[in-house]
Amino acid sequence: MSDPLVSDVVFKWAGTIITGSVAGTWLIYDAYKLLRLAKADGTDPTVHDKRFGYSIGVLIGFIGVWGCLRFHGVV
Amino acid sequence: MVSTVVPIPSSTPVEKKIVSPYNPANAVTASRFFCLPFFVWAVHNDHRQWATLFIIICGLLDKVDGLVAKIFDCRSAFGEMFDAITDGICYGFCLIICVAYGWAPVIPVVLILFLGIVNTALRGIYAKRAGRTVNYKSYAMERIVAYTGYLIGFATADMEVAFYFWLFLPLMTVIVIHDAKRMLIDAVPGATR
Repeated sequence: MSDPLVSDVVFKWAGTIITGSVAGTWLIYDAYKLLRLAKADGTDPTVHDKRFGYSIGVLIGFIGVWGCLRFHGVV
Repeated sequence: MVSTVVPIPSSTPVEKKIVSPYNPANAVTASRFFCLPFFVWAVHNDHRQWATLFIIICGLLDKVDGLVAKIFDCRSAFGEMFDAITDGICYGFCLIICVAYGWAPVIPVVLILFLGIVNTALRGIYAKRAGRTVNYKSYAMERIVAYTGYLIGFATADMEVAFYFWLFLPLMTVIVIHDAKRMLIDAVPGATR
């Protein structure tokens, strides 16, 4: 097996795309699911767990996108 | 051969389905361990791209096992536990390797591993409270585990390592505290003791 598999530029962009696309999709999808639960009964433990989980998902998605922007010196 | 009994959705609630632990989904889960020696080889030889590839394969197999369980209809409580344990061993081991070779910061990794051990202990207590083999379903923990897989990728790809590792810690701390309350204090659905 040889190293590197691809050039540094391709590797850097592959990492960015893999992270940014998943984090961005995750952020939007969990935000959508969080909005759908807006009217659900918050006293139900499952609803509470889902809200908490989706909120964490939104945060993680945001961190993922932010990190990609930092990696490319945008922010 | 030890088997796990899991209830299946049915109009007759007493109907049960026997699922052998030697099923395709668990085989996929177990195959994740084969990524570890290759990962160590790549890190030891400073092959960052290969190391990243092996951790991606390990992460993808984590997604595939759930899919295989659905296709072959072999979901079981044991499978869920085995999946969670495999996550902990594979990701914990890779994090330690990254620290050992100076690819990841020591303090965040030590704290992440500590929180992981605390979470595992809490799940053990929860299963004891439930009186059966059961894995507490935490939507937040599912997400942070995926983030853990990415953390190793960030370390191997040398991609904003300090940023991603230090931001991970407060998130995981909040999740473990939240889940601790749910597992230790709140009522366990369907507890037998």
